[in-house]
Amino acid sequence: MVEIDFTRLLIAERDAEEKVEDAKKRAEEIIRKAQEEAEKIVKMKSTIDEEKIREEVEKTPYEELENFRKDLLKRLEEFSKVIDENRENIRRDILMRTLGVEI
Amino acid sequence: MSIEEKEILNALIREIEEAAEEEVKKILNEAKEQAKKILEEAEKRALEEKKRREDEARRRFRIDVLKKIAYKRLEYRRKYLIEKYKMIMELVEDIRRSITREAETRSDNYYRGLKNLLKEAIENIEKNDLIIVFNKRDEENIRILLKDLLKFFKEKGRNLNVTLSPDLPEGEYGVVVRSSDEKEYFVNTLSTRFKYFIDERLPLLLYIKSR
Repeated sequence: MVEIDFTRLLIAERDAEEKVEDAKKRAEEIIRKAQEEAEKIVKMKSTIDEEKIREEVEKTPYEELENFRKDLLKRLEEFSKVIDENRENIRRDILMRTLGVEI
Repeated sequence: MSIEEKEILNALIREIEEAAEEEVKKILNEAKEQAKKILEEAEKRALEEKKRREDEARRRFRIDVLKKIAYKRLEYRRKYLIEKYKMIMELVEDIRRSITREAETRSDNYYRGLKNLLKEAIENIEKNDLIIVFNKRDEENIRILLKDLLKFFKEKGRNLNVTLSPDLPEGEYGVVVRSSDEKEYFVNTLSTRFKYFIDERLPLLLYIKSR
């Protein structure tokens, strides 16, 4: 009959369990570090350049505003030109109608 | 312990050790795999968060800039309208001065016009008993013009009975004709006509010319 030395066997089992436990702790450490790294990644890579965005966003409306201002100036110049070129005709038209020369 | 027993024991210990190593390997691999997923997920989350922040910033800046621009647009338009108004008022004053000059110097145009104003006013009153109100300075000319006009209307079948009233205020020109019973009147003063033509005719002239 074969007799087994259970003491060595128990020691081996305990060592094995310790290794597994140690591995579990290392695994937890790996995950914890990954989570820390993940937080850093989210923080770092989600940072935005607000000034750059502001410049981008403001560029088109300010260009449109400048065009609007130029357009009004142009319209004013044209209107002034119309008045100057036709001042005499307009003046005469209203004058004659007001006086009643032209009813 | 026999050799056979030793071999059995060693085999059992190896088996336990191998199982433990396998378990350790499995645990560590799973942990590494999970860590990799966590990092990948973080990259993805970072991109989403960045996009969300950028969108939010764009929306905020757009609102800010649109507010500022709306004020600026209003300011530009207000300045534009003020300048345009000044040009128009300068023209209006120019015309007003011309009219006053014609009236005060009693030019030919003024008297030619006065006859038309008087005729138009009378034509617009149905009654034949009339009161004609005018500027005292025009009295002599009104009397001369009326001779022709009374004749003219008589030929048209209207026998007019006219009372002259030189009561138009100083600085006012043209005529006001009203029926003696005061039920009808027609204001044909230069100031009234001027206002009418500035309101009705000038925009038309400017519109046509500026097209």
